[in-house]
Amino acid sequence: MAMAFDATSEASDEALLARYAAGDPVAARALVARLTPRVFAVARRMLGSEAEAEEVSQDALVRLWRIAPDWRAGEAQVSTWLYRVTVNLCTDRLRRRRDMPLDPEADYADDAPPVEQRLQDADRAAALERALASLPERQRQVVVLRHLEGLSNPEIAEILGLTVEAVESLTARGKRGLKAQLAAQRTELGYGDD
Amino acid sequence: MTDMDDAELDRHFAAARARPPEPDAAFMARAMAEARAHQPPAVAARPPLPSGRGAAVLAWLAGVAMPGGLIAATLVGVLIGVSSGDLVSDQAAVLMETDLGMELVYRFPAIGGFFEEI
Repeated sequence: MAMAFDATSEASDEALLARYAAGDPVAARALVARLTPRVFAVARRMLGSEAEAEEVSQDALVRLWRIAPDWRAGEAQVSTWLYRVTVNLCTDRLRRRRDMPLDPEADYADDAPPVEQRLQDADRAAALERALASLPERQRQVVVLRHLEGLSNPEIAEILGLTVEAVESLTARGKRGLKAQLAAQRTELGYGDD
Repeated sequence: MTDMDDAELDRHFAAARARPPEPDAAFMARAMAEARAHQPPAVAARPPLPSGRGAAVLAWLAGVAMPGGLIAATLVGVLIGVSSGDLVSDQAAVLMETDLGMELVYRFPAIGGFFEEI
């Protein structure tokens, strides 16, 4: 999401959070504009549901607002903390889902019209989203954070409480799973029929 | 069926990165309202300080006269408290030789006379 340039564009998340805690409404607006799309994108990709992604995003952000006055500068990055909270909230939701009957027409399927109706890149993005939904939870988290959010392996390790080696292993297994899922659609996705 | 290679998978990642799921305007508005609802109130700004001669007088009163007065009152209280003892003169002499005693006499010359009397 593009954000209009203003005096807060260059400020760090931490600096803005300190200003938020001091009651600065400009900082509040800047943080919402900056963090909400990030949190929402991660939640949406992990949960595959627009409505659940909104609930998780709201929950994660409220936790940040509440902790803002007590935030200890220099101890953790705001984004790392927020990703961790978001991933944990998504994990809770996914675990609750396991106790419920599976819905074959889940939200992610509803949002993905037939491949032939979409442009090629959009088809690929939608196919990837469906394939992601089929991955085991941990693999999906790592692949989303690494390849879609662009975080480094050490950052992901810190967020998920894993070693860097475990992150690398999960990423490799996740990518193998995605390739297996997507291989069946190679022709439809414009890779040729071979 | 041919396996998918890394380059092809990367094209999927690139396509997905180019189309991140975005929150709609209504949700952004709710998120903003929630942020403001939880935000602590702004810290009240101090009233502006006077400038010119008024400021100089206030600075003198705050920085010089008030602490000096407090020090003098404290010191006089201590001296009165110990004045019934036999060592008053010695203590007064010791006090006069300290930085505090000299500062006190400098700011309040009358106290110097008090020290000399005891």
